[in-house]
Amino acid sequence: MGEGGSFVAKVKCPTCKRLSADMPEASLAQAKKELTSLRKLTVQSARLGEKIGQVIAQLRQVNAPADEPFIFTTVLADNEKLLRVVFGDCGDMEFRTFNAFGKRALLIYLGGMSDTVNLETNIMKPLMTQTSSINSQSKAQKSQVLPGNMQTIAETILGAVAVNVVGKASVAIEAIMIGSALLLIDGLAEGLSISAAHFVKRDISEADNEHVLRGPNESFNEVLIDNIVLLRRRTHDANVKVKILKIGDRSKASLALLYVANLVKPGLLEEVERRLSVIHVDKILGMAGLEEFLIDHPWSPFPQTQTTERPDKVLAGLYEGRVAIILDGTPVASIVPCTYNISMQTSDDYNIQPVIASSIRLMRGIAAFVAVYLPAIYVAITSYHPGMLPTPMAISVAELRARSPFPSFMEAVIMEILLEVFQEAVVRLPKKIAGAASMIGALVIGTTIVQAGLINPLLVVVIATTALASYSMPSYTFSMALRWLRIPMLVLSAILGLYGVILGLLVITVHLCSLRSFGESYLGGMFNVDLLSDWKDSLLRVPAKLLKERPKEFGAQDQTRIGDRNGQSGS
Amino acid sequence: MANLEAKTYMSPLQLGIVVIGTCVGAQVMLSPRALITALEQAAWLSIIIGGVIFYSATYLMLTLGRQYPEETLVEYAPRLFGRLGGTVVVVWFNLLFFLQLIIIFSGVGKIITFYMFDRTPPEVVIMALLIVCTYCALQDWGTILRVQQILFFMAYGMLTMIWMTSILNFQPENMLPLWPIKIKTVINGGFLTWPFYSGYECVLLLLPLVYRKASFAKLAKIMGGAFGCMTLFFLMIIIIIIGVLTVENAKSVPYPVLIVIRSVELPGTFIERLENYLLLAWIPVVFGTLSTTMFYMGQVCMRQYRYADHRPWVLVLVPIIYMGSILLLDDQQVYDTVSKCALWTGLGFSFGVVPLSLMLSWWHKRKAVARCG
Amino acid sequence: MISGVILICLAILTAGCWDRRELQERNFVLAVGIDMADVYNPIETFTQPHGSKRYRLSLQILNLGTGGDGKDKSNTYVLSNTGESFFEMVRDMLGQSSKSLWFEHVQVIIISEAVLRQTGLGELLDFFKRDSEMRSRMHVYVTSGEARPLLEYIPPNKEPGGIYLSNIIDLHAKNIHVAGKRTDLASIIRYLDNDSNLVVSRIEMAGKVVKLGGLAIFKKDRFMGYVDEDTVAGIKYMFASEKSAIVTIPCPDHVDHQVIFELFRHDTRLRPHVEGDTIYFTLDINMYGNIGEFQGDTALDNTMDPRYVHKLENAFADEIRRTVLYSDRILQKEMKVDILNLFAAKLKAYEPNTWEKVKDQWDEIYPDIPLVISVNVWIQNIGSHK
Repeated sequence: MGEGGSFVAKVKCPTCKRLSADMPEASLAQAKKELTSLRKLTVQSARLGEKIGQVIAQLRQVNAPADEPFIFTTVLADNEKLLRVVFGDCGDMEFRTFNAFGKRALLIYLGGMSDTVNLETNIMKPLMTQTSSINSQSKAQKSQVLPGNMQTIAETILGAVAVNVVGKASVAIEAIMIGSALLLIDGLAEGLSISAAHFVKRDISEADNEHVLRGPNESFNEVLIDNIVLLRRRTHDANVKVKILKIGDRSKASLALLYVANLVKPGLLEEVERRLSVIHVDKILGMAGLEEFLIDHPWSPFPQTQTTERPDKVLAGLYEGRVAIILDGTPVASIVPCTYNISMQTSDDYNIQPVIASSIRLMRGIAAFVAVYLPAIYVAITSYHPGMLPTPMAISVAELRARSPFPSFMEAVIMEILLEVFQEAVVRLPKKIAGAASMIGALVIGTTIVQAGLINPLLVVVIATTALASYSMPSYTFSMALRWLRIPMLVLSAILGLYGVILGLLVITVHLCSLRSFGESYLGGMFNVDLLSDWKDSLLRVPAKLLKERPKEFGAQDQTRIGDRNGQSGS
Repeated sequence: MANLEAKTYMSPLQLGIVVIGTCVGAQVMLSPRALITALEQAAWLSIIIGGVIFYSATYLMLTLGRQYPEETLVEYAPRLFGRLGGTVVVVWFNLLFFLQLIIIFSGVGKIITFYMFDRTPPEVVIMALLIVCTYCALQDWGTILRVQQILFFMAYGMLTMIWMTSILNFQPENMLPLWPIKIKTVINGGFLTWPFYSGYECVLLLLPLVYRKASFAKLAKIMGGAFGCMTLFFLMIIIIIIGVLTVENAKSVPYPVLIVIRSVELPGTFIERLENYLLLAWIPVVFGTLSTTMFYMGQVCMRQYRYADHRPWVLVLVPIIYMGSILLLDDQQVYDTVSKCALWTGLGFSFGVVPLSLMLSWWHKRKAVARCG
Repeated sequence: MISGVILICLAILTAGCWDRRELQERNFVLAVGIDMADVYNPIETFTQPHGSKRYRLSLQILNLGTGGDGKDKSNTYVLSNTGESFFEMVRDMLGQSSKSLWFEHVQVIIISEAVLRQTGLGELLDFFKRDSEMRSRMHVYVTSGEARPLLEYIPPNKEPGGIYLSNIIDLHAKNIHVAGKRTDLASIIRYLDNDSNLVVSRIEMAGKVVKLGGLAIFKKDRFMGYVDEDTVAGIKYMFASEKSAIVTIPCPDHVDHQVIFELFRHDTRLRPHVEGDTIYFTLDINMYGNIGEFQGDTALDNTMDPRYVHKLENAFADEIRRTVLYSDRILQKEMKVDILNLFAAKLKAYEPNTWEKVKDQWDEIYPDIPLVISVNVWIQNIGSHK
C-alpha cells in the first residue's frame, strides 16, 4: 500500500512527504513485517483446525446422541480407545485385559475403590475358565459360544451379586467413578457394571457432638449405605422408604430421602423433592450447603432443619411424620421440618425420669434466655437503671467497678471478643497445644485480667455464665444463633437500657413466629391454644404412658402411636 | 390437624385471646386516674357495669357479623349505608383505631421517659416502639396470632404476678364505703370505662377468619369469657389502687398504678424499684395492642381500596401515627381533647352505628324476602 | 431504601445513650438532712434571685473506697448547701461534688424540729414526692436538735450511716416505743392528700449514741409536739399495728417487783357506733402471749398456779387499758389531734351517712368522743422456768 492512499487525499498536507515521518506504524517495512506474521498465523490455525477436525472425526466415528460422549460398539478396541480418551490422565484407572469365550475382554476399575478379590474370584475366574474349558475340551464337545448378550453372561456364568447391564456410555462412566468395575467383551455392544466397591472408610464411632449418657452411642459415618443400614437395624418396618437421588451437576453425589409411607405428612415429600430438583450447582460438599437451598428463610440466624449424627434421633423424627435427608460423604442427617421444640430436645430427656426431664427442659428454656440476654441486662442495669439493685448490692458493685477504666458497654464488648476468639481457637487447635491454650485462656479471661484492673469480676461471672448457658443447648446450630444474637442485644441495651432489651425480645419473638420450615411454623406450636396437647412433650416430658399421640403440629397421617388397625404394618 | 401454611382460620378460643390482647393494653396505666376522679369509691362498680355494657355491644357485633359471613365491615357497610354512608362508616371505624394508637403512643412515651429514663427524649422512645410494632404489623395474620398467644401467656402472666405483690400493702378499709350513694354517676361511669375496654371493635374485622363450623352460641360464650377475664383484670387493678392508695391520693398522682407498685416492699428479697419491673412487663402488653391495631388499620385500608396486601398501607400509616403522637406529647390540653374525642367516637360507633347497621340489615333481609315471596 | 434504613440505624446508634451513666460515676446519696440556715459555711450557698436563705440541706454521700485500707476513715461524708428551693440547692451542690448526685438510694430524711416549727411538712417534702428518682420507701425522722450531726454520725459497725439509720426503724414491729408502720414517704404523701394528721418518728443523738423513740405529732402538716413512749404504746394498741409488745406491771401482791408480758398475737377491733346523735367508739383488744420476765420470788407468787396466772392476766389487761386511756387523753384532750385520721376514717368507712353530716365539724367533735375499751389477755406460756 502506498503511503497516504486515497483516504488521506482530502487532507491538505503541504509539508509532509511521507506518512511514516509522523506515524511510525504506517511505514512500509513495518507493514511488511506484520503481513508475514499474519500469514504465518493463518497457516498455523489452518493446521490446528485440521488436527481438531481429525480428532473429532476420530471420536465421532459413529453417531452418538447429543448428551452421550460416545456409544459402545461391538468392537472392543474402539471402546477401549474411547474409554482411554475419557479417562485420559486418570492414573489410578486400571485396565485389565483377558480372554473370555476366546475373545478379548476388558475389566476397568478404579484402583483402590474395588474389591479386587471379589473381582478375581467372581468375574475373572469364571470367565477365564470359559476360555480354558474351551481349550481343554476335546474337539468333540461343542465349544462354548459367546452368549448373545451380557444379561445371559451375568445370569449364568458370573458369581457376583450386584451386577447391572449398561448400554449407555455416560451411565458406564458414572458407574466406574462410583467404584464399580466395568466389564466389556469383544463382540458385545453392552457393558456390565459390577458393584464391588470396597474403599477405606471410618468405622462406626461415637457421636462427637451429641453425646448421651444413657442411650445408644452409634453415629453416622460418611458412607450412605452404612447410614441407611444403621437405620434399618433399628426399625424393621417395611414402610420406611428410601428414595435415592443424585445431587450436583458435576459431582453427582448420592442423596437418600427417608420417610415412613403411611405416616409422613401429605405433601411434604413432594415439596422436598421439588426443592431438591431445582438445585443446579456443580458440587455439594456437605449437608450445610444443601440445607441452604432447602430452607425458606436463608437470612435468618436460626436453623430451620434439624441436623443430627445419631440414628435414633432420625428414627424418632421419621415416626413423627417428618422426612430425613442423608448425603453421601457427610456423617450428618437432616430432618425436615424443624421447629423450636425440636431444637431444644435431646435424647437424654427420654432416658431419665419424667419429672426430672421436665425440670431440665424448663431449665433449658431459661438457659436459652440467659445465653442471649445476660450481658445485655448487666449493661442495662449498671449503666441505666442502677436503682433496681438493692442498696448494699449496688454499693458492692460500684466498689468493684471503681477501678475499671472502661464503661460497662466497652467492657462487655471486649469480653465478648475475647470469648469468641477463645472459642474459635479451641476448635482449631491441634490436640497437643490444647492443654497450654486452655491454661492461657483461664488465666487471661479469669484471674489476670481482673487483677490488672481492666475488667471487673462481676462481668467475668456474667460472661462465663452466658458462655456456659449457650453450651448447654442441645443443637449446635441453635447455640450459634444464640451466640450471634447476643451482640445486637448488647448494642440495643447500650442505647436504650432495659427498654431496648424488651424491644429486642419482642423483635426476636416476632421473627421466630414468622419463620416457617416447610409449612410448619417455627414457634407456633409452643403456645398455640389449639395445640395445647403438644405441651405434653415440648414444655414438659410426661411419662411415656401418656404420650400416646404424636405431636399434632407435624400433621402425621395417623395420630396415635400404635401400629395399623389390622395389626399389620405392611401395606 | 396440622398448623400448615398461612393460618387463615382460627378457633373461637384464639379469637377470644386476640380480643383480650387488643383490649387490655396501655389504658391500664393511663386511665385509672380519670376514672377514679370521676367516680371515687364506686369505680369498681362502674368497671363491672362497663363490662356488661360493652359485652352487649360485642354481642350486637357478633350478630351483625353472622348476617354476613365471609365479609368484614368494610365490605358490607357500603351495601347497608350506600356509598357515601359506607365510606363514612369505614372512616369512622378506622378513626377509632387511629385515635387509640396516637393516644397510647404518646402516653407510653411520656411514662417511659419519666419513670425509666432521665434525659432520653420521648420521640426516641416512641420511634423505637413504632419500629418494632411496624415490624410485627407487616407480618401475616398467622404470625400475629402466634405472637398474641405467646404474649397472652407470658406477658400477661408476668404483669399479673408483679401486680399481685402489691396486695402486701392492701388495706381493705380504704375501700369502704363499698356501696355508692349516687347510682346515676355509677351508670354514667360505666360508659366512662370505654378506654379500658376499647379494641373489641376488631371483632368486626376478624369474624370471617373464625372457623365456619364454630357455632354462634360458642362464639358468644367465649366472648363472654373473654370479657369476664378482662373485667376481672381491671377490677383487680382498680380495687388494689383504691385499697393501697386512698381515693384522694389516687386522684392526685398522674399514674396511680406506678405509685402503688413503688411502695411495695417484698419482705426478705432483694428486688427494688418494682415499678421498673412492672413497666418492663407492661411494654409487651402495649406492644400486643399496638401491633394488632396497626394491622387492623392496614387491613381496613387494604379492603377499602381493594389491594391484595396490607403492607404498603401499614408503611404509609407509620409517619402519620408518628406525627400524631408527637402532637399529643407537648400539649396536655390537646391530649385531653383527643381522649374525649376518642371516647365519643367509640361510644358512638358501638351504640350508634352498630345497632343501626343491624336494623338496616334486618330491613334489607326482610325486603329481599318480601320481594321473593 | 437500604441506605435510608442504615442512616436511621446510624443516627440512633450515634445519638443514643442519653442516659448512660456508669454506676461508679454516680455519687450515692444515702441520707438527707434539713436544718434551719442559722449557721453555715459562707461558701456553701449561692445568690438567689427570689426568697431568702431559709433552709440548710445536707446530703450524706457514700465514699466508694477501694476497700480494706483506712480503718478510721469513714465511708461517707456530708455536703451542705443553703437556700430556699431544695431542687436549686441540690443542683448547686453539684459545684461541690465530683460526680453527679444520685438519689435513687436515699434511705432516710431527717428534719430538725426548728424547721418544722416554721414550715409545714408538705412543703418540705414536695421535692421528694415529685422527682422520679426518689424512692417511696424513704423513712422520715424528726429530731429536736440539728440534722447534720446525725448525718455525720459513724455507726459502730461501720455500715454506711444512712443505711444504719434507716434500718433502725425496720425493727419497729418488735419495739412498741417506735411507730414505724405508716411513716415512710409514701404513707406521708397519702395522708397529706387525705388531709390527715401526720405522725413521724423521733430520733435523738447525744454524744455517740443515737436512739429512735417517741413520736412527733402534727396537725395536718404543722408540727404540734412530741409524745412519749408510753403514748406511742397506746397509739400502737389503737392502730393494732404492734407485732410484739412488752407490758410491764408491778407484781399484784408485791408491788416492788415487776412482771413482764410478751405479746405474740392479738386481735384488735376499733369500731364506731352511732346512736341517735351520739357517736362513740369501741376498742376490743384480745391479746395472747407469754410471761417474759418475772422479777418476783416464785416461792411467794407461784406462776404455775392457774389462779395466779389469771390474776396476772387481769392485771395486764388493766395496764393495757390504762395505757390506751392515757394516750387517748393526751391526744384528745391535750393535743386535740386525731392521729392519721384514724377515727374519722373508721367513721367514714362504717357509718358513711353520719360522716356526711359531721365531716365539716370533725375537729370540734373529736375531743369529746368517748372511747370504750375492753381488753382480754391470755397467757399461753410461762417460759422455760416457772
